[in-house]
Amino acid sequence: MWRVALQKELIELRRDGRLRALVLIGAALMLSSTLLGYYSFQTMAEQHRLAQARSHAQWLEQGSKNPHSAAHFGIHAFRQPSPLSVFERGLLSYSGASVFLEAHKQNLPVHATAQDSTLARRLGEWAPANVSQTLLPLMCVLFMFGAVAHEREQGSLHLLRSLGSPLQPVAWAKLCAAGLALTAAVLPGALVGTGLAMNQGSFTFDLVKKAIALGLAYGLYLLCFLALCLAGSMRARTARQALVCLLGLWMAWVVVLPKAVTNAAANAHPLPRWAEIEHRLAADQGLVADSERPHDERMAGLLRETLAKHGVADEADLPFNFNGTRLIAGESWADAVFDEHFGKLYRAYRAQDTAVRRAGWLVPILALRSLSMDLAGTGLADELAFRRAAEAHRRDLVLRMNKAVLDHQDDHLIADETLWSTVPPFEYSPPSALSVLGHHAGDLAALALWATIGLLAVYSAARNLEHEASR
Amino acid sequence: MKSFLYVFQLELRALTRDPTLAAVLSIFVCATGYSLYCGHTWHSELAHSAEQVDSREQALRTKRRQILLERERNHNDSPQGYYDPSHPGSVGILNGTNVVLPPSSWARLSVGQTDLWPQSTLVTALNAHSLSDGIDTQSPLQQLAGRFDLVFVLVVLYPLLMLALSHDLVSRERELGRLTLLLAQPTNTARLLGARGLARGFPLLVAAALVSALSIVWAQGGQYPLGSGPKAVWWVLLVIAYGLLWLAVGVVASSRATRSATSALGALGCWLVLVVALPAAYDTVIEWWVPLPSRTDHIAAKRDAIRRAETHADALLSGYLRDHPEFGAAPVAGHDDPAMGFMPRYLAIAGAVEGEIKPIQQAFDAAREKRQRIAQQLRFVSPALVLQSALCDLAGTGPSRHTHFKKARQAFQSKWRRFFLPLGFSKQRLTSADYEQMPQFKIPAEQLQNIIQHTISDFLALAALLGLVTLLATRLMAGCAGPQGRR
Repeated sequence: MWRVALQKELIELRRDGRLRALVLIGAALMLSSTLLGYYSFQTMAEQHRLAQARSHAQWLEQGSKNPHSAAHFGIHAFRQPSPLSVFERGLLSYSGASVFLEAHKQNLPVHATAQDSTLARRLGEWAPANVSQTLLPLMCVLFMFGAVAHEREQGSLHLLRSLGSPLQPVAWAKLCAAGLALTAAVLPGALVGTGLAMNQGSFTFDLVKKAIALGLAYGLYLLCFLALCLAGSMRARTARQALVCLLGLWMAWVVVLPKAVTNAAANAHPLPRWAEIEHRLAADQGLVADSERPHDERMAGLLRETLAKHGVADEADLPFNFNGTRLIAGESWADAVFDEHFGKLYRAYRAQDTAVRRAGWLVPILALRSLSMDLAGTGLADELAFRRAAEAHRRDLVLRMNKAVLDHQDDHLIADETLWSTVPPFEYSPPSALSVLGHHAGDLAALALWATIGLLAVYSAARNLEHEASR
Repeated sequence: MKSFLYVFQLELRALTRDPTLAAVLSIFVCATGYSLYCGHTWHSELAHSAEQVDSREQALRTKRRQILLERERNHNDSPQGYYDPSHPGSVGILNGTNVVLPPSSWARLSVGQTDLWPQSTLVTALNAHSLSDGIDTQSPLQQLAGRFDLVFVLVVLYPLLMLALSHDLVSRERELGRLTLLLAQPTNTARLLGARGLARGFPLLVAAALVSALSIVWAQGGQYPLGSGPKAVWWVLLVIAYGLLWLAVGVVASSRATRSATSALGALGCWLVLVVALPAAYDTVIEWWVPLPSRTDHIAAKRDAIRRAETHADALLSGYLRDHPEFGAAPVAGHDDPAMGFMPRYLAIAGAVEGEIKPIQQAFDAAREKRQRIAQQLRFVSPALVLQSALCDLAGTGPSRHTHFKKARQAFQSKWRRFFLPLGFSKQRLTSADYEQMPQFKIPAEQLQNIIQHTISDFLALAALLGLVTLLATRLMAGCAGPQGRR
């Protein structure tokens, strides 16, 4: 029965010009956005790879100078986009391309490309993930609103019931047929995207795991929509009623609530502004030109302590260069201040993200969006991991330079490439698939729950129809 | 006209009994209320931050001047370190002052791109050619999601609600078999259906105009500077024109459809194309068409320039002092000041680096301006873009006010530079009198004429599109009735 029903549904799908057009439009949208995504990925990956290599070469070839001057010369850390960003651009346009790593300062990433975009960017970005999150659910509505409601209106549902056919297999067949149609819309884009990304040669087993998890997450999300739309169509008295209700659901879940919830999270967890942080950083380090110099006083205290510890009266008698101690201590004090203020900022980011993800139990797109971005390596978790890695690299670089100063009694030490080459090139490993999935287990559970609710709704609506028939 | 009004009244009466209207108006009012709350929160945050930055800069300047005054009174000439109010390097050359763009009062209605651009920027004597507009801490997640402001409600939700009211104007009659009866009435079909269509959209149009007007009054906060009246009138006119346009789209979608579901799909398709697909395609095409020079290349070029300049620093300094003898020749107190000694060499390197990266910066700015210009010219591809651009410009949250701020900042940066560089080169310390002469940032008022001109062209574009769609709707409605419909 099930197989016959599925065959009938597939034949109907093939014959229905509107549905054929929908599949073609969906495929065109996915394909075009995938190609654009690939173009952006390739451009960015190439630029960042070259820039990272050039930055390291500039570091090595900076010439002979004092190690502390070299620490001021610093390097730039560039974030290498993941091949999965072909599918999901996430925060890439908003989070800045590079961070400058230098002595005394922890910097934020700069040069976010969204700053140069047009106002239209606020209405949406052309990316496969956006198409999948917003337009494919709409396609589910359009596929499904008339699936049973039309049959009811045309009287064919009565005919089916009068034959005594069980309605459960019919319902599942409709769901399967729509799922296959949706897969046909997604497949060209997915295949082309995978092919292009693999062509980059940077596909690892971890990325494959992430890609599979992405597929699973989107599968659950779309299954939830398909099932709920089918259930809506089975419950509605007319196709019009089904369409109005399902479009209302789509509008609420996809257009209105994601923005409203994200804004509510921003209102609940306000962020400190950069000017405020910058002022606090300078004030807490005593680096404001206002004659109150706790920094200088702390340095004088450090000298007293060091002299007492080594039992000498003058810093020239110390067995090491006190300027090195001064620089290392200064960095250590500054790092504590950075950790406090940047920590507050990042905690606020995470609090906003957590609040939004919690709402994913009510609005599935919110659970999916965060999971999708982090799996694709373009989400907040990845962004913060990159910043942490860049900061760790900065501290390591500055410490190596300051230790070189410490180890040489000569205040006018001039070092060269031998010292510069002890600093390894900046490398960043994104969080593994397992750690992302561990972090987003709740989101995946929310999606699974919604897919189950959808399937239960179909089951219950089909049973309801059968009961109606038996009455 | 009489029959038109009669039909209009009848339809309006029928509509008031339909629960759809109550649902649509409730959604609109709730969405507007929430958007105003979000807008207000955002505006308060910006205003608070701007006030804090301004007052902190003022307080710091006053405090530093007081310290110097005190020192001058006591004739305290003891050498001071780098972090001293008299050091031009730590006050204005390596560090500087934060200039801030205060939010316009209408930012409560439209967030525009203000969450993408840093609100305040540090101006030093040496950062004239930076590609970065500054730093801000906005969460990228928030920036990606965008703000739920009144402009979002008007550009995205308002059309959907208008379509919900108008999409089945003709198709529903056809579906229920009442269309023939309706067309049998001794009146012009287009006029009859036009009156009914207008009545369908009327309550939402009135609500949108009223909400806009009240929101503007609220945003003004009891202060009505010159130009706020015309801006408010244009805002309301744009909202009405946009609403009428979507009403007409709904009518067109319903004219040929045999079922309401089909007309709903048609109307929704139009919304998707005009509000979602075209703006996204427009953004992508512009990005592709006018690519900006790579920022990563700029970073690398700057570092190469620094490296070259450091190698030839002494030659650069002597060259610079040869070109600007006024900086080096003056006999100055504090010439042997150890905290000042590095300044000329440092400034010579910075000057050479600036000279090298200036063309890159100029190429970048030119490309960015070209992109904005082309974006402005192409915005007419979608009415959603036209309305969004017009409302953001009226609210002062779009590119035009930001560009205005950047120009003011650049002019201020030049003054700041002219003030501090000679002090740095001549290793001269600041005095309390210098603090009185120090440039102060003030953003000049934006030309209202430019905004209004821009808005008029947007309004005309919407009106022209409305005219076209109305003409199409009239023809289609007349076509519903066959030959007798065109009476």
